[in-house]
Amino acid sequence: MSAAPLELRGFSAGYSASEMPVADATFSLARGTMTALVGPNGAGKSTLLKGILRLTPVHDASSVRFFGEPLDRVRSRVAYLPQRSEIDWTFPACALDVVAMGLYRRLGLFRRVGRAARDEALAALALVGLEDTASKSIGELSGGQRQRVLVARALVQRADIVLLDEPFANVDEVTEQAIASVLQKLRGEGTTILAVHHDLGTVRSIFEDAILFNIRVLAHGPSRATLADTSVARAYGIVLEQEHAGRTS
Amino acid sequence: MNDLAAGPMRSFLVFDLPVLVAALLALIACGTLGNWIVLRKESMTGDAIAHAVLPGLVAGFLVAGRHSIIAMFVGAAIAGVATILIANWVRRRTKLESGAALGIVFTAFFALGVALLEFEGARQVDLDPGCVLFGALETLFLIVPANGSWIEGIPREIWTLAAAAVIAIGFSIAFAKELAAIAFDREHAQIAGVSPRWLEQLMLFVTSMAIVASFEAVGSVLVIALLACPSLIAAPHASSLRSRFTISLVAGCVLTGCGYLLAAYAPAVFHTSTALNAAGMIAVLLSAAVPLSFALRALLNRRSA
Amino acid sequence: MTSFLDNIAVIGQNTQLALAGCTLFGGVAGAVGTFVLARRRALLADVAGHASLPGVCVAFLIGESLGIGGRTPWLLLAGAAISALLAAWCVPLLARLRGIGPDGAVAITLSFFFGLGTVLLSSVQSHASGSQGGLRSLLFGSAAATNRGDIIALATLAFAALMVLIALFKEFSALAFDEQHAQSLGLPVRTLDLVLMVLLVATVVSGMQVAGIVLVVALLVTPAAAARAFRGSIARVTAIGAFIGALSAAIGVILSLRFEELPTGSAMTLAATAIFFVTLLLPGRMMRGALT
Repeated sequence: MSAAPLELRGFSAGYSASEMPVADATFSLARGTMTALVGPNGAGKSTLLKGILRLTPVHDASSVRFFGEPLDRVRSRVAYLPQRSEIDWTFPACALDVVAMGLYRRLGLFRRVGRAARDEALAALALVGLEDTASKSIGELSGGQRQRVLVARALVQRADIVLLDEPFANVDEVTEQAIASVLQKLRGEGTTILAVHHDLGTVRSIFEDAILFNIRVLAHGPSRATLADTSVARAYGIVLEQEHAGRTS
Repeated sequence: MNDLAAGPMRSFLVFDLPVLVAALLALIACGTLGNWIVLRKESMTGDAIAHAVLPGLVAGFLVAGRHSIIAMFVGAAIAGVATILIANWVRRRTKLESGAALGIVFTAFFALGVALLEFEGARQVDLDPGCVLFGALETLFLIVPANGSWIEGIPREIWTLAAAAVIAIGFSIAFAKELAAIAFDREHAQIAGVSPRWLEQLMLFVTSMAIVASFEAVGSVLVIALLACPSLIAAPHASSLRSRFTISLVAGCVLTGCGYLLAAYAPAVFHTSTALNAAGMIAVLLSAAVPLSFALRALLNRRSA
Repeated sequence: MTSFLDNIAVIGQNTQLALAGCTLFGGVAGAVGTFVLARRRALLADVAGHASLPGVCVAFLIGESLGIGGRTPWLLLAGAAISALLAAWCVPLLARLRGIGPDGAVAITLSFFFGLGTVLLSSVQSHASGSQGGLRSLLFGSAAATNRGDIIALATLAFAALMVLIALFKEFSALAFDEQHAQSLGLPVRTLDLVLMVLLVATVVSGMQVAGIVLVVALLVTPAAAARAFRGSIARVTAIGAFIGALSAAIGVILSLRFEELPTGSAMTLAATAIFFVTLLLPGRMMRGALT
């Protein structure tokens, strides 16, 4: 039996011992599942992702395992999409350049980005519907296009597990659809997906599983059932009924 | 003047005291305004202005003839304000970071200034390049007329510095609450109407004037130290604006005095003949004092914890 | 055009060498500048320039006392590089202190190192023979004051920097665009950042003699900023930056040789700035909201 793509046991992360944004998180993802990480603002969801990826200090690195191994051994199988707002979009690069960055590790130090790599990057752009903008400067792209470029960058790595931080934040419906269908396609191919997601209204339609999170893991299971559990929802102040009623889809 | 003490005391009064006074006045002028600049996180603006005023100074001299102080000051102040305005415009137009925009503009101004300086034979004026960067503290001394009072012998630079210091303090007191609001949250201050356009321009203008007055005497290297360091020395110890101003000025003056004395008398201790550059020494002390001040605070915290 | 070329030929080999060396420096500065801008290190380049002064003085004194002559190119470059690197190391350390921030850290470091430099300089000047001219070329740069050894030293340093930049080009790109993602990929971001810093200092130090310590930062910032007006891939924009840098440097050298009073640093800076303002006229220079 192969090990779980991602397994956490008592995982804590944060900058100071007294104030842990993530404390004692425990869960395990099954292969080929698409899970949303859901919770109120400031609940530590981003910190959880960053902590798993060792971008933030963690209490005990051995409490995280990817495919049964520590992160460093299986990095090539893990892809990450950070929050769009933390990036400087005035950087002088074109869309293809950015997507190709996902391949840099695989190419290795001192190697050039050759024809093969460029073709792969182009293919990833095509997956998100942006093959025509490959040579456009990223400064000229719209918000939705920029997000899709970042998704393509994660796709090009052909990882077995993809971690995304707010992939649908501030995007229009068309972009949301495009990204959602790409993720679902990946899932169909056996890739495991974990995404921080803020919009309770769309969670159930996009993600099959959900983790309710607020510093700790409060619940984990199929999204419909987990989010319908109003007692849990009320436990951290999410008003689920109104959200559900407000959405038209 | 002959009734004053003779010998070493007289030497001190004629040669050392004017320099010391000039340095202290420069510290008061720049250190006061520097508090606002540092709180707004724009410490490097002072350095940029100090470099950029050069073409203004030279232009003023060319337009109005030698030693027309007013013309030089006005030219320099205009250049200073223009630098910041143009840098802001570049930033808006190109979305470059502020450090880069400043860098592009002030280097261009400085380059222009040096070119003008060299071309127009302004070398005859005491505006030579070394002076611009390192100042001429050592050239300040009391010229004592035989029959007049010693007040007449006070170098002109001291009067301009005194005026700058007075203006700096007056400006800060007059607009204390507006300047504080701007330093804390500029956007909010602008939206709330607390920070009118003219006040920002006035602040730039006053700062440029203080910088020009100071760098005439102490050079542009010291100006950046005088602007930023006193406030940063006070930072870990001051919990209110008032204490920040007080600590910065007191600490600043003490360090300036020490710096000057060290530069003037240390060579004698080490038996070397050249006097060390006073402005540089003061800059070294002021800047070194900042991390020391933080260390002191950490030490005090540990003691009381 | 032909008379221009004739002029160059007539000027003499040493000058041709100076022109070539400076143009190389300008090109490297323009290329490295792309990453300086992207990493928001423009002010650090300014510090590096000013902070090399104490190192130069110490190197000079060492040279004199060892009897090999203070003005040995390699010695001066090494001294400059060491003190500039020290300063570059201090800045992020100070910036971490509460209430200082990156701007305050730059101000403190600049004051300390340049202040120390002027103190040492006053000591050095008593050694050297009437070095007012030497001072001028140190501050503002002078292609005319360089000799063959100087040019070879600076060209070698610039060339080495260029090689490193090319070798690690894609890694620097990833780091500059999105540090977190680069880290998540497993790239050694701390090391890469350090190497980039060393490249910055190396470039600054190599150009110091010709552009002067005050204005060398202009060659790192302005051409790269001008290149941002152009669209396309990172490689393309970097190459354009290198081209503009090389052009500015070349124009600067030629003008300063033609007009003796015009220091090389000023000429290079004014050329680069002129080109920058011209690029502002290009259509579409206004970028869409940068941080959406």
